[in-house]
Amino acid sequence: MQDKNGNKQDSKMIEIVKLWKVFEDNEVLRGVNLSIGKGHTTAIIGSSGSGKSVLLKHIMGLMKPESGCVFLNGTCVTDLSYEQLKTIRKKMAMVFQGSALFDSMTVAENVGIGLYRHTDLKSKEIQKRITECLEMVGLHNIEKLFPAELSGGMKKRVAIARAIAMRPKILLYDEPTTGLDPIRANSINDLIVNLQNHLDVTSIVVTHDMNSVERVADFVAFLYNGTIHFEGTVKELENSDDIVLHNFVKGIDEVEEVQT
Amino acid sequence: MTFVFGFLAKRIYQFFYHLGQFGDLLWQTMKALKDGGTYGSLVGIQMNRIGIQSIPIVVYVAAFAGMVTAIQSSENFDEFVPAYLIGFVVEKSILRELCAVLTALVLAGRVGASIAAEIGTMRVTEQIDALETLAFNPVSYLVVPRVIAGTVMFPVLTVFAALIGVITGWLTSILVMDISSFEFFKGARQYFDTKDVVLPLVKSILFGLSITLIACYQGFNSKGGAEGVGAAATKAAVTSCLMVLFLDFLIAALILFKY
Repeated sequence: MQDKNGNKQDSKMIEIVKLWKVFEDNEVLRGVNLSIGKGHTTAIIGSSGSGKSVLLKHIMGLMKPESGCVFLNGTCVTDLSYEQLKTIRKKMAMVFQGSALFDSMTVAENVGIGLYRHTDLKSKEIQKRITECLEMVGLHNIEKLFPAELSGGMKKRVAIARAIAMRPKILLYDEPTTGLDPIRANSINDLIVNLQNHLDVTSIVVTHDMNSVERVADFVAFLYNGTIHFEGTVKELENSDDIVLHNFVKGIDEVEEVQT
Repeated sequence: MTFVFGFLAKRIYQFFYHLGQFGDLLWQTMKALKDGGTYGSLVGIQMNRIGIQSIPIVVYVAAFAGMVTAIQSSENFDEFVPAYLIGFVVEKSILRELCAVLTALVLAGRVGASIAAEIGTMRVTEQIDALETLAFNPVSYLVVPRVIAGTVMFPVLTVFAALIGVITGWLTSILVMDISSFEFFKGARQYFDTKDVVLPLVKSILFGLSITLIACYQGFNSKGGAEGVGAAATKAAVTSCLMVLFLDFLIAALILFKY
């Protein structure tokens, strides 16, 4: 498989094998199989409630599956002890749908929290890294503000700055453009592409925003009925004649279509 | 009938399920004590919130408890009961029971609800998940500093409440009921023993531990949005109050009956 620049997705960074997750009687993931290539951006698309965020939380080790495994560089995350998981998490980062900034901390404290705890950097170096990360996401002189004083778009940017502060190898975005106006959403999309180019990370973007997919993704996986219904490049997605995928991309309700 | 049995079975299952989960949180908290690098700097902040900021309400409650105890006991005494026994009643009531229990009941509302609401909000806004993704143990970061602060500051507040209660009881006795200071302290000293100090201290340590842990547990298990957080805060306050009364009975029975 080749991305939009003609690069092959050869080296597997993340491999999800037969992942099952059940909430009470609701089978959200029903044997998901998916490979994510190193250094690329993969968008996981699907309708609301289809289990995209649940899948992302399994990759991060925040949820345990009923069965199946998520392999990160060949290590099964779901079998790891809490301490082993902590070590792996230092190389990963996640941007949450609602930003999940810590209310009681300033912007600088939010961005630097991992650096203060997990690195031997001196305070001045950490301050410098915080400023760098904030500048990378286009924010200046807001270190002393609290999350409650920021707009939705700024919160997303601070959340991204926090995610990149520890120089992760894998970046997970959960609905990064949800709740933003089209201009802010596009600026977040551009930011994701820029970070991808500068930091050389493996990114997974969970979204149902097709504009975002076209802008940021090299590869796309479509989650439908608890399994990966389609996996391919953005071009392959556009050329696909799969009716379920077509209906989702065009926003056509299957029930309405049958009635008409 | 089937409905009643079904309802009871569900409630009993839920009780033991939560008991198991609560025990697990206690175990996780004990294990997280070695993670000092995470919680070290946060204990002082929590001591301020749980302890120092609670002083005004503790003073208020203890002051009135002391005054009421003095007035109630004097009203029930007649010419056959020596007046100096008011000092004895105030000292025993305040030290053995009221200073620890009233302080704990008030703090179960103030501290318990506040902790549960704060952690509950962090749960529903994914801040706890964010902590985990940043390679923090949420128990080390959120639970341990609050439990340490509660366990340390509750005895301090209880000692404070005891002093205030006895002082207001003494002032009420000499100013309102025409009893001399000598008589008041004669009664207070005559029947004083070490249990009057040990009992409230043991109680307050256990109250501090259980209230903060219950509140953290309820916060961690919040679901939904604002309604879920509100429910967690209510459950934390109510469960903490019930636990305080249960522990009060248990400790009194164990210490006073056994020794």
